[in-house]
Order: sequence, then structure tokens, then C-alpha cells
Amino acid sequence: MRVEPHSCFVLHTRAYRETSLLIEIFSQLHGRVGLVGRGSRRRQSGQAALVQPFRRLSIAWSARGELGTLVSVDAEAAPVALTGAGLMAGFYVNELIMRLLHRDEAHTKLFDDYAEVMLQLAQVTSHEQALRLFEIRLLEAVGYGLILDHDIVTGTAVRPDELYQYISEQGPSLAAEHMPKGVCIHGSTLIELAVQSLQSEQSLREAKLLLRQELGRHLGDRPLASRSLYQAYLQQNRSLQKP
Amino acid sequence: MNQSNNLIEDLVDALRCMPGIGKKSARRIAYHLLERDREGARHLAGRLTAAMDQIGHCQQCRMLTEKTICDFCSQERRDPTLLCVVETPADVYAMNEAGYKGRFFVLMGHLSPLDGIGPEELGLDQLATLLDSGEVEEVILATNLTVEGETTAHFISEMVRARDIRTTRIAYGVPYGGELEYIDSSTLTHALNGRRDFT
Ligand SMILES: [Zn+2]
Repeated sequence: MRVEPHSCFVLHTRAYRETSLLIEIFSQLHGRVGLVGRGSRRRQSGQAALVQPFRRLSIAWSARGELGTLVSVDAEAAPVALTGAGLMAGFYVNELIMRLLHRDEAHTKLFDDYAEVMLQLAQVTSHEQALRLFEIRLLEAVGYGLILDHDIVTGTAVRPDELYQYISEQGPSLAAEHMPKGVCIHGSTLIELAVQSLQSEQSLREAKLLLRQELGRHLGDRPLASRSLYQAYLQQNRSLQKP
Repeated sequence: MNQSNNLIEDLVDALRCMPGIGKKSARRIAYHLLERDREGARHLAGRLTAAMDQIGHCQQCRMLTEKTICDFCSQERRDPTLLCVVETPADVYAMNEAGYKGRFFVLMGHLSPLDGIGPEELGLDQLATLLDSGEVEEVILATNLTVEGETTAHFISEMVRARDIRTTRIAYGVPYGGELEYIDSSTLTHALNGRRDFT
């Protein structure tokens, strides 16, 4: 079956045989797809420069068996201008997609979210908010959306000044006075996550803990390599600012 | 590596570990060596064994060498204040051919988190030691112009800047003799972003 050219992003490539590439893409219509690019690494193919992450491409392939065969690739836009921490964050997003999406499952809405987060990583200096909101949308897309608006024990609306305990895969309830379970998070953070605008350092910190807990359940034991790289990079960056 | 009871087939299979050598070429080479150049083949076998047994990595720059410190690091006429960071030993020779006269650091790859290749695998702690020695005044980042190569360059540039050493990135863009209309758009974008004053 031939898949006509449409919007895709490359998530990862790996050298395959002498001149070919194994390519993981995120397709607007088909979700995560594995392709073989025959001869893609040959200079004459002109594909090596294009088949790179973080650029919106138009890709066509022929699908047969588990891996499709790349038929054509064209640029749809200039590469997303990621630099420094933005690059590290970009790899992190790609690794999340690789780990959490099954192959050949369409996620058209998440594709738009992905394109958006890439643009944000290129623009804003603080990537934290963009990453958190993308993580929420990703969890939603794979069927593990978070409950952010009500207390799961009482059913009442989340109040900004209360402290909640968020038990993994269940939801928020008022934090027990002694030994709260799960991640402790203020109502204000839950509300800000729901309206997609994190306002304070506290919200960013709590949101990070919550999402790490929820993503962790689906990522398994193997640590995210891109997360350690991102942290190592920020560490160096911080040591720069020391007097 | 499986061995059959057929020495010729074993040789053909063994030859295929070389890049660019498929089954057909491997067979041609095997017959050629057996029929016309047994002496040359024996010599090759000896050189291969010696090289595989004795060549390791330079303790200073990670270049392939049979010595503790490679020639690039020990030659006095090379400028020790210049350090060029490259991905592979082949890049060392390419930069050298291009007239570069400083020293090198060879990463033996690039950062590729999704393949589990991080700072440690690239010997960046060794690079840090080299930078801390105080001799280096400029680090030239000559990693490949791929997303991974750029990521590696960004990561190392932070290490270098933290030590108050000048960092430069090799310029890239239009290849010599290249005509604009035939150049791919990624390359041209980079060439445009990296434009400089013209005098
Ligand atoms: Zn050396």
C-alpha cells in the first residue's frame, strides 16, 4: 500500500546496512511509523540533509509488513531553530513519543501538539511550561488523561488554596494530615494545569513532580536517556552562572 | 562468526565485514588473493592481526594509536593552544588535510540520547581534564552538521565557556564549486544564518 506524501516529523534515525537508514517518524495521519530509507545515506540521494529530527517534512512511503519503505521526502518548513537547552528538550519530547506511542496508531491531535511544542522550544527561554503541557496532552492521547478539576473522594471542585495528594492513575483528593500518599500538589497548580498556564515557580515545581509520577508509570524502569542529558546540560549552564 | 567446513566460504564470509563489500565482491577478492596474490594476503593478515591487537586510544585525545600518546598530541610543531573537536578518526585526517595545525579531541561518535550515547560515552570527562590543563586557548567545534552533531557542539560549548575559553564552530554552507540552485534547502538555511561581513 502506498501512503501519499503528508506532514511528518522524524523522531530518530539509525544507520542501517551501509547506505540505508532506519527511520522512526511521527506522521500526522498514521502516528508513529517505522521506515527503511534505502540508500538514504548516499550523498546523491539528497535525503541525509532532510531526514533529520525537528523539521516538518512531507513524507511518502510504501507500507508492507512492519517497516515501510521511504518513497519520497520533501521539506515543508525550515528546520525548527532549536539551540542549547531547546535541542536537549527536543530529544526529550522525541524520546517520550518513542516510548509511549505504539506504532501505527493515529494521533492527529497530538501531532499538532507536537508541532506546537517544537515551535515553543525554539522560541521561549524557559521550556518547563511548554514541556509540562505537552506531557499532559501526551498522557491524554494515550488514554491516561489526568483529573485536574475535582476531588475524587468528595466529588467537589478543586479549590486553589487547598493541598491535595495525587495518587497515581487515580486523581487528587485532600492531602491526609499525616503521611499523604502520592504527590502533594496545591489546588492552584491543578487549576493552572487545567487552563494550561503555569503561573509560579511553585506551580512549575509541583507540576513537574506530578507529571514525572504519572509518566513514570508508563515508562517502566528504563530511565529516559534524554532526560539525563537535559539535566547534565542544565547543570553546566548553571555552573556558568556561578561568580 | 560461524565456520563451515569450507575454507573458501569462510574467507568470503569474513571479507564481508569490510564496508562496501557485498557477497559478490567478497568472492572476487577471495579468488583474486588465492589465485594471484597469496604473498600480499599473508602480509595483510599479519598487519590486520598486529593492528587489532595493538591499536588502542590515545590517552589525551582518544585518537586511534598504538602509543600511549598519539603523534598528533606529541608533535611539537602542532599548536597546543588550538583544540579541534571531531567525531571520528577519519575527521582528524580530513581536518589535517585541510591545513589545520592544532591538536585534536576525538569523540568517537556524537551525543545521541535515544541510542543511549551520552557525555560519558564520548569521553567528555577526559575533554574536561584536557581543558583544565590550561594550555588550550580556543576550542574549534568540528562535529558534523546533523542534529546530533549540533547537539554535541552545544553541549561541549557550555563546558568550554564555563572555563572561559574561546569557542568557535566551523563555518558551513555552500560547498566549494557549488551552485546555489542545486543546494538543498537545509544547507542553504545554515549558510544564510552563518553569513558574515564581506570585505
Ligand atoms: Zn592524541
